[in-house]
Amino acid sequence: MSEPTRNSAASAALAAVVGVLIILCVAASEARASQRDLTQISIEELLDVEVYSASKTVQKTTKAPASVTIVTASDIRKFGYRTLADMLRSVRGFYITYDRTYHYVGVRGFARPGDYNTRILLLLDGVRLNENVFDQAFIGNDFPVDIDLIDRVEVIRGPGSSLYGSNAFFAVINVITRRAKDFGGVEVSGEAGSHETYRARLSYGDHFANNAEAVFSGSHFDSRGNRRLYFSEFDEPGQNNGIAEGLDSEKTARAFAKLSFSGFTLLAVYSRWQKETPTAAWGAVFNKEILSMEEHALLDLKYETTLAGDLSLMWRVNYNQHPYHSHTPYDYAEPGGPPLLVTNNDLSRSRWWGTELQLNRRLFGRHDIVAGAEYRDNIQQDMKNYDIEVYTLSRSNSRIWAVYMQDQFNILDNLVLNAGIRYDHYSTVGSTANPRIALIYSPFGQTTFKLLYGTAFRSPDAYELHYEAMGYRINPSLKPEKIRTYELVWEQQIGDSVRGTAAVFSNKIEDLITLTTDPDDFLVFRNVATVEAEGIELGLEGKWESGLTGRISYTFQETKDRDTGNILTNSPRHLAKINVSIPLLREKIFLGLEEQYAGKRKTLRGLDAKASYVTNATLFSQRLVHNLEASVSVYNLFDFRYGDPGSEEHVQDIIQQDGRSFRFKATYRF
Amino acid sequence: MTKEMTRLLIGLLCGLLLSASIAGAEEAGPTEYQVKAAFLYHFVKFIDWPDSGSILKVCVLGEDPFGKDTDAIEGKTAAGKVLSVARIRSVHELKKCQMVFIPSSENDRLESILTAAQGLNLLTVGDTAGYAWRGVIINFYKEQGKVRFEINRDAAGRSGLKISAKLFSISRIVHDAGKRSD
Repeated sequence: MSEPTRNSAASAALAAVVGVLIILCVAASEARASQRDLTQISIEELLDVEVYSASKTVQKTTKAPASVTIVTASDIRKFGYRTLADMLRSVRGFYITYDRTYHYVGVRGFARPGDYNTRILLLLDGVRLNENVFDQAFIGNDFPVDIDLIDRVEVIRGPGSSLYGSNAFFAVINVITRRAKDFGGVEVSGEAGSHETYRARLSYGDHFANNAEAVFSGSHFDSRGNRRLYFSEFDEPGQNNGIAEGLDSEKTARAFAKLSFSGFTLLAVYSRWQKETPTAAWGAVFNKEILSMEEHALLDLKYETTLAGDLSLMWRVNYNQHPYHSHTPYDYAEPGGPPLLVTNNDLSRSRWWGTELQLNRRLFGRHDIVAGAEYRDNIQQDMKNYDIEVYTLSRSNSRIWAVYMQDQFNILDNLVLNAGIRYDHYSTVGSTANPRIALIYSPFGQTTFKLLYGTAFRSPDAYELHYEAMGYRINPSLKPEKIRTYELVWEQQIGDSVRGTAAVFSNKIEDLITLTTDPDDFLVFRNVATVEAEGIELGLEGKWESGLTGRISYTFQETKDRDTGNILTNSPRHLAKINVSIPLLREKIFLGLEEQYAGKRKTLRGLDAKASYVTNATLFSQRLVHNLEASVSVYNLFDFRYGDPGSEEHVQDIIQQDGRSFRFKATYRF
Repeated sequence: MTKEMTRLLIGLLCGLLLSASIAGAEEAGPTEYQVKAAFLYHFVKFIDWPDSGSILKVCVLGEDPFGKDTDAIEGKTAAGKVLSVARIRSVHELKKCQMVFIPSSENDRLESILTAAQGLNLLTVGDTAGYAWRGVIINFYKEQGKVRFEINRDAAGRSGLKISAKLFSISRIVHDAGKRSD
């Protein structure tokens, strides 16, 4: 593998910065003054002590105008989650497809082959992460933040365009990072696993006088991957008998900084990921290296303050850039002639900056109003493809502005009406307005009903609007696709320990942007398909005194193309999940067991990817020895053989997933 | 591009680091929950529990917002009583406690917790807007970065505890919902 030298130089610089940073940070933590004993002062004096900034009030999920699931840092440790995709696999109604390059999330029966997670909105501490060429959201090892820095992931189902705009189509996934207080010093973590997989992390976080706090972290992930992958579609003597050898490696370098000071929070994130693709996707030569690289840099400055009385204000401004580059080997040999290998380069450059102002206020005692405005300038949305001559050169930029408002009207103590609307204007495709209405009623203390209605949109991305390579033709009349959702949710507290959720949903997607083929064989994106999805979700969640916790869920869904009446590809009818964390030694040793079932899924060629049963187990210990946390995980414990449906770019109709693998991890806090 | 980005990053991190080390040289303020834990300790001096022993059990129900912040009061003596902090998950455990902290995680089932607390000579404490007028005796709130508390006089009267006038004098007085003057 020949990596360009500038990249290794950048990696070395990164490593050096992280190293120096940590040394200085340790020094800073040593210098911290000890705290005084607050029990030794009088209660009047205590009333006068100024405290370190409080946690922002988090809305109770039962009050949220949506069906919400939260996966926490504790789940990450107890179930041995390695990526955001692992976390989402455990979420009711969600499933993941992996094509050995990217992870794709399916929500409520919808996971189109070739959709780069454009129909979910991924946020990091409230900052949009979907890049602006393919609108892609990254959830595997390409997610820009190390999983150990996550405090919790809030999965908000249903359309979220009334607050968040484009891409908030099926769900909004907000990843919230840990606060400085959660570190309280230096944290070192290392792990080793199957397929020569290693990860190392050094983090530092603490709070100081004047409500200042800081978190710094650097980490590196490296995996050789599965060294021999067999693909029957390529099983020929000239194709290494279908075995892709040593072509599954993956690497990520990440740096993270968060600094807060009197209402201001500065977030800086950098990540660089690269992955080899062993599947010979896009018609590449089999058993030769295809390498993809994604880089993300983000800088966000947020200011939060409480103005007069109960009026609070949030203002943020951020800058993002996301370059992508891949090398793909093609054979341009004449028929019968000698091989002529050429490396094709596919590139995109994505840069944008944005600003948002949001006001929150309680009015007339019963109305909680949120109002805001957002502006986003896509400075650069460029695509390029070449081997020797440039095939595609699309340069574009666009601007978006939006205003939104939401009113949570607390009609009675047990009856809430939540209504919101957002108006977006795109310089490319014009305007769209999206409402959401929720009625939340708790007839008894233990019971909550939510009736939800909403619409959302996804504006065509730069790739769909401007990609004009060989075989593609531009469609100037492409417009946003729309979804309309109805949902009824019943949340029930059963006794002290168990909480149940039942939801019935109906989604109708119109003007779905679909890649179609014209009679003259040109590929054109058009607003053609209409998809209808109906389903029911059941979930139980329990927490017992002994420390035992568990979640179990079942989803039945039917997602059909209205014109053909066919069930969509990669859409399982049944999904079931069980997560149990059993305390073996109170507060100290836990056994986490996870079982995920997905029913059979139709593939692009009309076959079925068989139903899958995946079992994961993690033995986790904390505070056994000082501040040491250690865990051993086994993924796919029973070595169940299954595959995910491939996409248009794959020769494989079904892409084999990993069998049993292991991981050992240890984390120490100083 | 990469070079430019790396340079940007280095510059940024150095800046952040510098400000962090300057901040670190000063004395760190206590966290919100360290202060609240200290208040729980001080309350003991102003309240009389009928027929209580020498150990005073402070319970935290549900999702614990304190973490290690209660370490500073664990085992401390106030008004001749030794404080012992316990995390509980069920209202059935309330009878073991003299004081219970009810975090905002219990918002939805506050009423059933308060019903279970009746007649147990239990001091209920919370830190969620509205808890006091819903019947929690002492409720923390924040004002200009400082922790303050309000006392529901009606709930205090029902509790069977004797609360000194001094504590009322430094608190904001509230009443049960429906009796509010505002």
